[in-house]
Amino acid sequence: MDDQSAESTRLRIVSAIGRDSLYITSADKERHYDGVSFVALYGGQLFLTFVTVVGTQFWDKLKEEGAKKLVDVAWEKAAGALKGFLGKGEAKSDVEQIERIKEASSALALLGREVEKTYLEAFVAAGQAAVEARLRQDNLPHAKAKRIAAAVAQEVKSKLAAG
Amino acid sequence: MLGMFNLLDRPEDLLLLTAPADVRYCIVSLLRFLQASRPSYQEQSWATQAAVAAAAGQWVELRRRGIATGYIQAEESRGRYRSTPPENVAGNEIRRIEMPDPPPTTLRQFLSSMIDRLVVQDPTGAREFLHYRDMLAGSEEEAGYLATRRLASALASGARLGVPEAAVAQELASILLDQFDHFAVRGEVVGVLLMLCHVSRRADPQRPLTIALRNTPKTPVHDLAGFGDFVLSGVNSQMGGAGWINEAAQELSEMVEAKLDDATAARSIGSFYGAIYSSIPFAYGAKRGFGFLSRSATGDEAANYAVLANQCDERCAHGMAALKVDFGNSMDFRFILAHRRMVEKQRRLNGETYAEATVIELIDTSMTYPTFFRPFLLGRTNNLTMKVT
Repeated sequence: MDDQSAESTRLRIVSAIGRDSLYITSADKERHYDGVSFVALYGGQLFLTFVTVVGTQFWDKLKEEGAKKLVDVAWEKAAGALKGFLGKGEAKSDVEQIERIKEASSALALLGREVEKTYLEAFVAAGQAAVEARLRQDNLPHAKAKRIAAAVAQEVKSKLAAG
Repeated sequence: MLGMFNLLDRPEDLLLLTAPADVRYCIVSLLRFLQASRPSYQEQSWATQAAVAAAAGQWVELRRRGIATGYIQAEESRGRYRSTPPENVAGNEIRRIEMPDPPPTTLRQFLSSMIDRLVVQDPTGAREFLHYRDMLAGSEEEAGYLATRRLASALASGARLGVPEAAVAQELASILLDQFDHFAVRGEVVGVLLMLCHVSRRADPQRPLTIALRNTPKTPVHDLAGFGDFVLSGVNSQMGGAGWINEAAQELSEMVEAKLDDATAARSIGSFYGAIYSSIPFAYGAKRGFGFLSRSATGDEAANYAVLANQCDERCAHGMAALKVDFGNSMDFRFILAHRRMVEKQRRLNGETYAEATVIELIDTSMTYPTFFRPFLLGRTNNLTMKVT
């Protein structure tokens, strides 16, 4: 994935947030008119939050299945790709976030290729629930949080399918 | 909001009032801009924009009669607004702009001149606009006072005839909305009264407004917003009152979202900006309701209501900005041409994705333009379509 594609991923999430971006800063003392770069950064955070939850879920499953000695080589390979991504904290700049989105997308593609669909569905559901919770915490009404989380899930699913 | 502040080459160009090609549309867009909230506020907003744009990046203190002092900092693609002085900024670094008192009437004079021009061009078509020449010169305070009397007398008549208060309120709300659609009453009046009418609806079969007006100890009320707060405080002291106010404000917020959905689905420029215009009294009414609750509640509850009031305030601000852009464009397409140049600049400097990001902000995030303006803003066509079939 190149920078342009990572930007496009964020932009599709920005589109889904659309006019509801005003909720994000509604608890602040100042009213903001930050423009699209602010919403893009927020959209990127949602995507990375989602992928982090998917990754964590996968690791938990890996430990569980590993203990039962059910893990095959393919799972180990996917785990390797995710390990690097999960070890990093929140991106501090726009450039760093774009890099993180590219890494996350590659890891998702590998996960999509190597891991069974039923597991993936459970991981995606957990990621979607986490993003929805984050949006609600950021003062978005329930229905809007649900809609935007579904749009982020769509991005994640497309990356999983790319594998 | 993007680049609204210093979009044109010279800040003073923002103040230019030029004769439009389509006089009728210009009149309608100016009426929408003026009546969305309160004509004098809009005049002040128009008059201060050049000074704010000229101070790009600097904090500006806006002092205006009848409006709380505000602080604004604007740059090309971002801005800040707050009601208290910015922290960590020395007083002498803040530029002060004092608005003339009484407020300017520049836009209303321009409106009259455009109506006169339409009379010459199309005497029959101009007929529906003739009375707006005088109406906007009338006293806003008096119109606000008359609105409060109107509510009180409608409730009294309803009570005499045995009509439930909620039915009276419902009838008044529909009349007000119809008059607002025809620019006969300003958005501020409609917002305050809608809030009260919806409280009555939520409380049915109770009569919260009648009881509030009868039982609340008389206090000096200086303006329409003060009257709204006075009645709400009377409602709040009734059993279940805070709940009715909250539900009414929620209901108005939902109406805002429905209007904005209409704007998103609009197939013509008139229906797009018409839907945005219609959303403003609902947003203002909800802001009054949530704002009142944030001041009367305590702790987390108060903070939550303040957040809801902020959300409604932002909806009003976005709507107002879009109407200002529409009015500017109705004269000479000043904003859309400048926005299109900005999109092209982003494409040249940063690539197609950034050009698209700019358009997403103008259409999806700030709702400054309808969706069918996308190809024009992206430079994919030179024909600006005003209506899609």
